Amino acid sequence: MSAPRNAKNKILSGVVLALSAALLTACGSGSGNPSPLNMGGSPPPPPPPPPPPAGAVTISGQITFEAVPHDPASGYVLDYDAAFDKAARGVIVEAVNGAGAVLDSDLTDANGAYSVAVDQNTDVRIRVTARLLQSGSPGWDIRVVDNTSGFADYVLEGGLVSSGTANSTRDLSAPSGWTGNTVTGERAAGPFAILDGMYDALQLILSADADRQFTPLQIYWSVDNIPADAVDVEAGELTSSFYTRFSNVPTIAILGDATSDSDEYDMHVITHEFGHFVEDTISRSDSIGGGHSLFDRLDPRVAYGEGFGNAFSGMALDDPVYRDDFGPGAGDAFDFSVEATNFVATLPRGWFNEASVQSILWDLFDSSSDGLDNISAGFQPIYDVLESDAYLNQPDFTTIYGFVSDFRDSTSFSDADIDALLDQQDIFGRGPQGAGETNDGLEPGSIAGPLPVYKTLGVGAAPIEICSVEDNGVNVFGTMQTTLANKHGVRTFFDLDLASNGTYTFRMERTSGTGTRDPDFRIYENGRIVAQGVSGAENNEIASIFLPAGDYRIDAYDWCNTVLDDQGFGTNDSEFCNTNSTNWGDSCFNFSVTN
Amino acid sequence: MKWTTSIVCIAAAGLMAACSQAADEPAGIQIERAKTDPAKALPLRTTIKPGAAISFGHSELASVEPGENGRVTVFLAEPYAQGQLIVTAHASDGLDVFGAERSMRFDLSSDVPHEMTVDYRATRSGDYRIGFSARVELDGGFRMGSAYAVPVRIGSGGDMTAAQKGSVQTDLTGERRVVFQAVETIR
Repeated sequence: MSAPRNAKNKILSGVVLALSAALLTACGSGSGNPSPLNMGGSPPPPPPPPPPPAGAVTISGQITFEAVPHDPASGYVLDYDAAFDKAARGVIVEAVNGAGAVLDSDLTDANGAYSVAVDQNTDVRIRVTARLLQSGSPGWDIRVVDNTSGFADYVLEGGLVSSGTANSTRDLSAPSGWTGNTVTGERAAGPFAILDGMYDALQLILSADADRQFTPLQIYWSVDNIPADAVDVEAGELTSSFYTRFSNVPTIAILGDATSDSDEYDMHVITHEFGHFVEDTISRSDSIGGGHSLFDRLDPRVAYGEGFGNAFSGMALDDPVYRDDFGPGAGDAFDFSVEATNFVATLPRGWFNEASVQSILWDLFDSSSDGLDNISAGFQPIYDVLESDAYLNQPDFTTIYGFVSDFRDSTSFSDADIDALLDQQDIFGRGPQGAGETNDGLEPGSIAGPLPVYKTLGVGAAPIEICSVEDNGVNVFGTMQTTLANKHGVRTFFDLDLASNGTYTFRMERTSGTGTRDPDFRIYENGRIVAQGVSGAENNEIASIFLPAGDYRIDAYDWCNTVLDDQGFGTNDSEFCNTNSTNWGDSCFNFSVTN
Repeated sequence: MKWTTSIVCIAAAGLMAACSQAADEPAGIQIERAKTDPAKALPLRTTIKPGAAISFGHSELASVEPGENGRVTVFLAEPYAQGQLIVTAHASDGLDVFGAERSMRFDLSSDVPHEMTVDYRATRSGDYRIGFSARVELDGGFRMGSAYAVPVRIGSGGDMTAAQKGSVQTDLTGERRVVFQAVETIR
């Protein structure tokens, strides 16, 4: 990453900080401020709006956006000819005068309805902001901004028209801007379509936690957001739709380019990323992120996080078929069902595969009993695990093992039924550390594998040889290679239980591997990094660290296997990794700790 | 020739490195250690939507004036051992993409480098895009997709997506908004 890129991020940080401050201070609730979320069951009829003050009139109406469905008969590409108006739920509606002053405001209800009161014979414009906002408990603040236009809010506006002398109705709709699969106008519906997915995801969480106060969430969307080769949000270069934090502000970035890939109508993509927001802000995620697919053998933290995101999207939308369109005019698409237990016989299954994770989570959730699925837990017990103190403070990394272990402990479902779902996915380990796992996920004949999932490290004990294995990532095509950093086998997990405070010396020393290697490790306590050995030293990493007594986990790896080569996208300053592309691949090290 | 290559899946890693989280700095006391490599700042997690595991890159683009032809080569890497990779290039409005390799099919069992070269041309200055949609079809019928876009500047450039956007307006308080015009019915 070049210096200019870092400079750009610093600029961005300032912008986001300002934006965040605005998030925290702006926009009180509107008149009435009804809860826009349907909490389940039949909602009581809304109370009649209070009578307007003398000399005032009421303007009411419905806010909608043009929704574009996927066509299952055509492989789930978007069907613009089937577009329909859908209620914009929970968004801010303001009555503003000709000078832009806000005269009254409201939030739309579950039908997109709003009502504001203004003086008679006043020129008034109805303005709708692409923002879900509710203060209090429950509370949330989710806004869509244009990352390519100074992070400005998106608004939909009607005309400046006199309020007259009698109550009136003003319905506003945001058009998609598409005619057939060609863009012919403003794509006003985009931000509201994204919020529609967010609204559904909010409802799922609120169904299990009616008082949940959400961390503010910002969403970057622009018609200029492209899948580019690096991230530069102000230029619309995103690489893909993703979730992250910018200056610690939870952020979802959504593609919008009509030529290559736009995701505003891909509700599963949107709610998948919201699932990551839930993990990050309500639950806990130790995922290291990065690219992934259902075909991959992944770092188990990544597999769990992505499998959760996929399953969560199905839960939020009550639709297990994940679909994502792409290409010009969203004319191509792929789909998969989180209900499926296996897609292609040759694909990997196991604790390192996101498809295995999503299948287990969905089967725990759904109400249908099929195959080996005899559990219909619904969302409540899943949510209860995700936000429990035990889960948040688990010493182990967040993987499918930890979730299932806590689910097993906190519910009354039979061990046999839970085990059947795990076995079906070739997950044979049990307990939070996957004890007894026999599926190593490596190719036959590979060097020392990752089992057991956690290796027990003893102070003063003989060194343990571990390996960083390249089997599941690198594939070189001329000047290109696929990613390895977040793949299964690259990293080894240790369990280190220290009985007393002290200064401990950690050694990670190369025993095999081509060229010069760069061993590194990080030490975690309940998911939080407390120490690390990440120097650029060649072949050996040695660090003496004072640690209090406690239960620690260690992630040890070969840095050369976590970065890319010298083609312009590596972030590694270790010249022997960065300048010699042969210096990644299988490598082994002895790991020990002494005091 | 200098290649400007990239990996979509890992581009986030660059972002990670650029935006380290100070709040997660290790709290343990390191008594003795080698200097921490500054490139190894704690990463910012970036979780990307699911898609085919395809890495994209492209050649550096030469300056092209209206009416002139430009050329770009796109490189793809994937980890699959079987199946097909179908890649198609598309131009944004106002840009023409042409050439025999505008649509390519690659055998995933082959280790031959996956490259496709397309030519492009526009009659007026502007900032255009060439989109590449890539679909992986594995034996057994399962498929996943991914996309990539190459920004293309012709002449002095210019906003070619303005018609899709709202107008940026600043109110009296200095607050900026992107304003879309509603289809409004008043009764």
